[in-house]
Amino acid sequence: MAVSTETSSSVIGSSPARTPVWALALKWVAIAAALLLALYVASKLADHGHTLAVVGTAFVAMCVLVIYGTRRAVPMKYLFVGLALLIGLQVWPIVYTAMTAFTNYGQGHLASKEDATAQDIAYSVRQVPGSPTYTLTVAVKDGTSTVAGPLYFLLVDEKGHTFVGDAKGLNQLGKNGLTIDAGKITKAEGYTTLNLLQANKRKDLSSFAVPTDGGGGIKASGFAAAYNGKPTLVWDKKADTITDTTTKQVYVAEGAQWVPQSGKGDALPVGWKENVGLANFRTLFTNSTIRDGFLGIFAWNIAFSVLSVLTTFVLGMLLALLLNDSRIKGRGIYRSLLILPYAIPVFVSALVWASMFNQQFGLINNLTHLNIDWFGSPWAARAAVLITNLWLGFPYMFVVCTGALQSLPGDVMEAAKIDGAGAWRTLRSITTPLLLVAVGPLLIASFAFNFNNFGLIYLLTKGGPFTGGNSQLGSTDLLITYAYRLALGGTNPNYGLAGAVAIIIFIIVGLLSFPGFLRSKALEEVN
Amino acid sequence: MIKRTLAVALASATAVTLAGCGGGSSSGKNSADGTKAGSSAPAKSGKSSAAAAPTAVSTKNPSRDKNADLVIWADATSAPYIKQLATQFGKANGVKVAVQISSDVRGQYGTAFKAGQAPDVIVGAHDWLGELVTNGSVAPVQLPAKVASGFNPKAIAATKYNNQTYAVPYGVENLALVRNTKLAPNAPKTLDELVANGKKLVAGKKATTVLSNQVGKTGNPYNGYPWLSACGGGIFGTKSNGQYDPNKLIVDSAGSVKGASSWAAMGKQHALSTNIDDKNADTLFASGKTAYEITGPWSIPAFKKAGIKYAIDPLPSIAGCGAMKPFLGVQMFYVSSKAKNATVAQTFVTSFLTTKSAQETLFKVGQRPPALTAAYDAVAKTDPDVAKWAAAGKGGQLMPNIPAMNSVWGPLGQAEADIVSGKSAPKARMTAAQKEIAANIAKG
Amino acid sequence: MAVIDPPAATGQTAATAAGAARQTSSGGSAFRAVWWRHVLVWIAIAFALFPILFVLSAALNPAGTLSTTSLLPKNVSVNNFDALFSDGARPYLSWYKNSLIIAFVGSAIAVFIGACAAYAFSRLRFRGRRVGLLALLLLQMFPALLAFVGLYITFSNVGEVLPKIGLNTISGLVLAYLGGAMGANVWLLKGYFDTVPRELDEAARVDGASHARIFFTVIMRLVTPILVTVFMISFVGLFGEFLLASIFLTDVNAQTLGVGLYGMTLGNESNSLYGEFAAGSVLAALPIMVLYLVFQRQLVSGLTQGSVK
Repeated sequence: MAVSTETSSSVIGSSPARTPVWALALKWVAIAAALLLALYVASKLADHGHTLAVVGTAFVAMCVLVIYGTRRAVPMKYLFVGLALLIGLQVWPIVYTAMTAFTNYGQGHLASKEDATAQDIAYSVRQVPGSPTYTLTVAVKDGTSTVAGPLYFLLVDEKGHTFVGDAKGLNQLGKNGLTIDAGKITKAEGYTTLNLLQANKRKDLSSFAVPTDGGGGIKASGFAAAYNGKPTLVWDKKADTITDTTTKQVYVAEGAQWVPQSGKGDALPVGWKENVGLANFRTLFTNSTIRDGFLGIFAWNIAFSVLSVLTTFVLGMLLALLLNDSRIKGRGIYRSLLILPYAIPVFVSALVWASMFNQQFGLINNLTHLNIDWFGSPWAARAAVLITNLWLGFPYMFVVCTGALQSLPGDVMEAAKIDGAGAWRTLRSITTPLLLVAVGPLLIASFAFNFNNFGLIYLLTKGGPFTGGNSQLGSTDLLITYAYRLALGGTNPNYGLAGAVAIIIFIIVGLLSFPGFLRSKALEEVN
Repeated sequence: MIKRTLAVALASATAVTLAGCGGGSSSGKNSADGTKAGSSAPAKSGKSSAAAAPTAVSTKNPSRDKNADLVIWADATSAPYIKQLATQFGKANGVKVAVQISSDVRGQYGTAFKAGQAPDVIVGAHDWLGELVTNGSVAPVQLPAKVASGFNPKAIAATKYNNQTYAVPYGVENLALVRNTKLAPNAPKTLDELVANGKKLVAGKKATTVLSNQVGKTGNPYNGYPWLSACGGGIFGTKSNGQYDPNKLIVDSAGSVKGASSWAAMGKQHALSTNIDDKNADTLFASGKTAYEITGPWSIPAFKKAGIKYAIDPLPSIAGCGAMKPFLGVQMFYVSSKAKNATVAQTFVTSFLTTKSAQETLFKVGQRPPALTAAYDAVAKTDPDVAKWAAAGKGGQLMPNIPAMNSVWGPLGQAEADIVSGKSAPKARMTAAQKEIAANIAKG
Repeated sequence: MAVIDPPAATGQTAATAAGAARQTSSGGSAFRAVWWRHVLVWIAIAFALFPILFVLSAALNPAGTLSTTSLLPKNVSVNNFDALFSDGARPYLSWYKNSLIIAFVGSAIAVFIGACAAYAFSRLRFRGRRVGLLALLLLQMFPALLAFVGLYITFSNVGEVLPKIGLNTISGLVLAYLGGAMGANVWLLKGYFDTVPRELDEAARVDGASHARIFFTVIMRLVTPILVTVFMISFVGLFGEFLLASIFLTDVNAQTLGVGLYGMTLGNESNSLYGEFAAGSVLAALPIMVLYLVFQRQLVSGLTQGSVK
C-alpha cells in the first residue's frame, strides 16, 4: 500500500512521465524476493516429498515472472494475487466439499478400509483373563541407541517376580543387578532405561508386544505399566472376513462396515470411507420428508431472503440519504451510533434478541403489553426473525449507501433540482437508480448470503417452531438449516450428504440470482 | 497429496487461461508494476506454495503444538485446573505440556482428527464415547483392576463401550432440586408438594415462577428425563450386557407416557413452561423469582455470586409413580487414537490422573463430586454440597453414550415442548416421537 | 462539496424540506430545515440502541445475570469488567489485541487486493472480464459454512510444510480470510471506479503515464470514500468472525474476541459468565464505532473535488 505519493504531483504534469529508477528497482527486488520465496517453499515441499506440489510452485513462480517481469498481461498484474488467494482458499475448499458428495464420508466412515479395520481390531484387545499386570520399565541393551536399539520390557508382576521381555518372548530376570523402587525396576545391569521423553520418541512402542503363550502379547499401557492383551478379532484378508475368536461370530464387509454374517448382532463400530457415486443425490431426491417439506421451506426461504434484503436496504438507504446533508450537526456521532448494531458480534445480538422475544420474560412483550408467543407460533416467529435480521443488517446497507452516495454526480442532482423536480421524484428517478448501479450487485450478494443465513436461524429459532408433531420441518427453517439437520443431525452425521446438499443449494441460488445477473449486465452497459 | 496436486493444477490452469487473455490496454512506456507487487503482499499463490506470511502479523508463533510433548484440549472452565495438573506432571517427568482451550471440544476435535491435527488428550463428557469409538478416534486405556476398583462403579461403567475401557473419569454430575431456603425452608418430598408451595409463593407475590426448569421452545430431554424415569419410562432399553440398545426404544412405553402426562399437568399449572430456557432458568433462581430450580453443579457459582441461600435436595417423587431420577453424566479424559505422544498421554491419564491429589484438584472444575472414591471422601469433608449432589444422583442411570442418542434429542425435545405447552396430547405425541426417532436411527 | 439534495421518507415533508433547503442558509434556518431529519434519525438510533442498552445493563449488573425484563440495571457496578480483566482462563486483552491485528491487517490487504481487481475490471478490457466478474458473484452463493472443513484441511496441509502460516497461527487465519478478498466487494469498488471520469486516465495517458501510475496516483486518490467503506465492511466482518477462527485457533492466547466471547456462551457454565460476557461484548463494539467516527471525513470527501477537473 505504501506507494509513494511524492511523485503524484508531477504525474499529470506536461513532461512525459517516466517510471523512476527506484520504482523499477523496487519492482525487480520484489520479483526476486517472490522467486526466492518460491524456491524456499519448493525446497520445503521437496523435503516433505510433495513432488507435484514442487512442480506447482515452480509454475506459480513462472507465472510471477511472466506476469510481473514482462509488459504483457497487464490485467493479470492486477488480478493475480487476489485470484491466487481466491482459487487456493475459496474455490479449492468448495471443490473439496463438492467431491465428498460422491462418498459416504461421515461419522463412522472417515478412514480407509485398512485403517478402519486396524482400529476395530485394536478396540477388540482385551486383557487375557487371569493374566497379571506389571509395572514396566522400558529399556534398551547397553551400548545400543535409545532411539533405535531393540526394545526390552523390564517387568515386575503383582507378586514381585521380575521378568525381561523382548520381541521374541518373556524370560525370568534374576534380581541381581536390579534396583527396584516402589515395585518398579529403576536400574538394571546391562540395560539402559528410557525416561518418559525418550520412550515417547519411540513410535514403535505402541505396536511393540512381548509375545506370550496363547497368542497374546505384553503391551505397554503408558510408560510405567504393562498388561497381557490379546485381540479377539482376526482379519482373514483373503476371504475378506473378520472372525471374533471368543464368540465365533463371522463378519463380512457390507455397506462400508463389518456386519455379522448371520445377520444377528451389531456391526463393528468403525466403518470406512468409500465412493458411493450418486447415492447421496438419490437420497435427497427420493426421501419423502424432503419432498413433502421442500416447497414450503423453499417458499419461506425465498421470502426470507428477499424481505431481508429489501427491508435492510430500504432502511439503510433512507438513513444514508437522511444524513447526507452537510447542514446536519453531529452527523459523525449519528452515523457512529447507527452502525452500533453492526459492531456487536452477531451471536451476542442473537442471544439478546432471543431473550427479548421471550413470551413471558421478554422485553418486547413487557413493553408493549402484548402476549405474543414469538417463537411458538409460525408467523410470529417469522416476523421475529425478520425484525432481528433488519436490526442486524441495516447498518451494512447504511454504510454501503453512504459510501456509494458520494459517487452520485453532483451536477446531475443540481440539474434535477433546477428543473424543479421534487425531492420524491429526485429520489425515485435519479438517486435510487444511480445508487442501484453501485450497490445492485451487493444486493444480489446479500440475497445469496441471507439465502444461506444459517447462523441467524440457528442462533434464534433453530428452525422452529415445529408444528404438526415432528421435529423435522420447522416454520423458520431455511434450506440450509433444514439440510444441516438432515445430513448432520442424525445418528451419524453424513458429510457426503451435506456436500450433495451444498451443491444443490449452490445451483438453486445461482439460478435464482440469474435474473439479477442479467439485470446487472444491463446496468453496467450504461457506463 | 492428490488434493494438493489438484489445487495447484487448478490454480495453474486458471492462471494460464487468464494470463493468455491478458494484454490489451497496456500503453505505458515503462511498466512500474513491480511497485505494486512489492509493496503489497508478496505476489505468491497456490495453496501449497501459499503466500509469505505478512511478517508484521506473526507477532509470535503460538503454535506450541509441535514442540509440546503432550497437547490437551479442554474448555475454558476446566483448562486452568488441568493446566495446574499438567505443569505438575510436566515438572516431575521433564516433559512440556500444552493445555489449549477449545470453545467446542467435541466438534473441533472431530474436525482436527480428520485433518490429522488432533491433540493427544481431550476432556469431555462420557456421552461422546459412542461417537468417538465409531470414528475410531479414541484409544483404549488399560486401568488395572486395582485402580479401577477405587472409582465410583458408575463412573467406570461410563468409560466402557462394548466392554472396552476408553477413558479415565474425574467427576460425576447430575441434576438435583436446588431450593431457595429463604422462600422455601423445607425440602418437598413430592412434586405435588413442590407445585403447591410454589403456587402459594407466586400467589403471595414472593415469587413469579413456580419452578425453574429448562424446557424452551424446542424442549430439553436432559431436564425432562426425570419425569420419564420416575414413572418407569425412559429412552432406550438395555441389552444383556447392560449397554443401551438403540433398537429397543421405550419412548412410547406406558411409563414414558405416564411421565409425559405429568409434563402436561405441570404445564397446565404453569409449573413447567416453554418460556423457560437455558438463557433465563438460572437467572430466575439467582434473582429470587422462584424458590426451586432443577439444575446441576454448574449453576452454583451464579447463585453464590447473587448471594442466594440455597439447599440441594434430591428430586421429588411423582404421585402414582416413583422418585424422579436424573441422568448421570461423567466427565472424563480421552486419549486420541492418533496421539502423536501416545506414551506420554497414556502415562498422564492412567498413572497421574488416577491419583487422589489430581482428582481433588479436578474437583475445583465446577465442584462435581470426584469419580475416585478416596478423593470424593476427602472433598466431601470440606464441601457439604458434594454429598448432596451425590445423594440426588443415587439410583440415576448413565446418560446413553451410543451414537443413536444423536437421533433422540430433537424429536424427544420437541415432543416435550409440545406436551408442556399443551399443543399435543401426551400419548399420541410420544408415539409420534418414538416413530420419528426410530426412523432417524434406521436411516443411520 | 456537492450538494446532494435531501430526498426523504415521506412525500409531504420532503417537499417542504426541499423547498427550504434550496435557500442557502445560516445556522438557524438550517436547523429549521433539517430538524425533522434529527427526529427521524433519533427514532432510528433508538431502534439501533435499545438491544445494546440491554447488554450494557447486563454488563453493569453486579449479579452478573442477563436481566430478563429491565433495560436499566437496579444496581450499577464495574465488577463484571474487573472480572473480565482478571480472568486467568480468558485473556480478554490478548483476544482484543489479536482481533485488532487480524482485522486491521486483513482489511488493509483485502482493500488493496480488491482495489487492484476493481481497477482491472473497470479500466482494462480483456477476455473473460464479464465472466470473471459474474464468477466472483456466483462464488458467494456457495454455503460457505459447509466448505470450512475443506479450508481447515487445506491449512492443515499448508502447516505441515510452512508452520508459520498453518493452523493455530494468526497469519494463517489472516490468509484464510484473504481468500475472500475478491468477493462482492470488488463489485462495490468497481461500481465506484466506473464513476471516475475516464477523461482523467486519458489525460494522464497522453502525458505518458503508465497504467500503474494512473492507478496509484490518479484513481486511488479519487476513490477514498469507497476504499474506506470497504475497509469498514471487512473490518467489521473480520473483527467479530468466530466460526472459522474457532476451528483455527486453539491456543487461548492466540484466540480472538469472537472465539473467546462465543466460547463463553457455550456449555452449562455459560450462565454464570453472563456478566463478564456482556461486559466483553460492550467493549468489543468500541473499535468499530471509533473507527467510523475517525473515517468520517474520508468517507464523504474525495470524488467530488476530484471530478471537477
